[in-house]
Amino acid sequence: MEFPFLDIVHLTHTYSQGEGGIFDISFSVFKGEFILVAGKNGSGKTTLIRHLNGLLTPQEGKILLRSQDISKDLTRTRKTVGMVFQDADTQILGDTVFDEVAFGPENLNIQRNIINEKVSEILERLGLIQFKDRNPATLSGGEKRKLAIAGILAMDPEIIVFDEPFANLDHPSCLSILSIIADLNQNGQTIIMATHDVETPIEYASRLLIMEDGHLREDGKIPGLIKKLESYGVKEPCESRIKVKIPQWQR
Amino acid sequence: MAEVTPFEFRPGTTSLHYLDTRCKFFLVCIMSLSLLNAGFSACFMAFGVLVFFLIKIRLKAVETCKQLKYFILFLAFLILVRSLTIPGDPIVSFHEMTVTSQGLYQGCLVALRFFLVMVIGLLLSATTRTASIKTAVQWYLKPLPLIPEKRAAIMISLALRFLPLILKQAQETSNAIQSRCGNLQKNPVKRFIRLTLPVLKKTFLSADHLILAMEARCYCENRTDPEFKPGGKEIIFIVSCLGLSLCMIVTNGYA
Repeated sequence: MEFPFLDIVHLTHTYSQGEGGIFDISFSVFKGEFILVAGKNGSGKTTLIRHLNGLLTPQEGKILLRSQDISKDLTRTRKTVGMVFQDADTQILGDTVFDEVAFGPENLNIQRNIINEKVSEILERLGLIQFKDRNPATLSGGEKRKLAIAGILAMDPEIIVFDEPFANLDHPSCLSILSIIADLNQNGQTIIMATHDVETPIEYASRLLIMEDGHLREDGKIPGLIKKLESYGVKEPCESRIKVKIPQWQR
Repeated sequence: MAEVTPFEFRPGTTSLHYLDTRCKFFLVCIMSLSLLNAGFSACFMAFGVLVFFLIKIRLKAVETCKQLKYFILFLAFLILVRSLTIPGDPIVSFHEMTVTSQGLYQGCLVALRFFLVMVIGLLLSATTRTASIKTAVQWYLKPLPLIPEKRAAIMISLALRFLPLILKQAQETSNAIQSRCGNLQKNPVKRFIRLTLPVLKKTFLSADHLILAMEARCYCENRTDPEFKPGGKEIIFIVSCLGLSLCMIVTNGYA
């Protein structure tokens, strides 16, 4: 029997202002899955995913990473569960593209020559090597999003959590980011993606979680839940509506 | 794509970019100390050298002045206060207030010194990575007892990181105010409050985001720091800087 990689057990977190938060959320994440966490704005998606790498602490419940409570070793958790923020600008901390990708490995106290090799390899892989000496502020929105992903990949995470990765991006940038995420998943990386735009990544996802008002309302395979999306305020993908196969976004 | 603020690092290939950060710190200290007591002629001498480097790193003068308009306003305020408070030969009198020539001279001199120190800081931050500045501060503080050098260096690097962020937010807030005809408000106090309160609020929010981003990637004190890479021209720069300082001191003696 396969054991869950990440176990979220009766997770509750409320905010002092009384609005928002998440309530009694439980689910398990298995290796290699591509999970979409869908829900309208304010449904608690960001609050949920910020618990997954220990940025928020649960008020009730716990999160187990390979059966160990994540709060026991936050460095291990953050190395294993990488997080790509919704706004790439808030995530980018380096003075140059190279420094930005090196930031995570530097924090892990890895040797300089290994860091340099790893950063160059990742920049090459994501097609950012030509920007390595540029100030990240001068990159376009899509390039910044790629850079944010590169910064996380440099830490060798086993799970990558994306918070609205397609927000504020034009169509080609969406395709480019989607292609990177799909490749990562095909190479065995576990992906958790919080989004209200289900249409773009749905073809690659293996599981759908639907949130509403801080509660996890649905959890299951895509075909069984796709028709329920609209009742939770999330747009149903065109392909499902018109029942005609639409060519892959990636193409 | 966004405009890079003057205090942000600008990658480049000038000799200032390749200079060892520890050496740059030393030069900054020497130049700042020389300016402490400098007269007009010495200040203009330093100004000439600094302008040369500003041109080398391709910093646009008009754009930079626009972004530093609040600092320039502060300097103008400084000149005004000095002109009104230092006794001497009156130039203009208005009600009880008198602008004196000695006050104006002193005010302009102090403002010029402040401006030059700011330009030196600008050259340092525009040609040096924040991480390298942090490492250099750490290196200088290490021999000093009772000072947690890593923590102090982190604080300085965070302050440097925040400076461009505050400038950017001030610009964005100013744009938001002007897009809704905020420029029609003639009362300078109200205009100032309207700008500063949202900028402060945004700065605190950004600080929260920055902490989250750093925590998410395991930020800690014991991290791999950048290596110092001497560019080979350190001795030339140090000797030239000491020469310039000497010239400034000699010029002051004659003035």
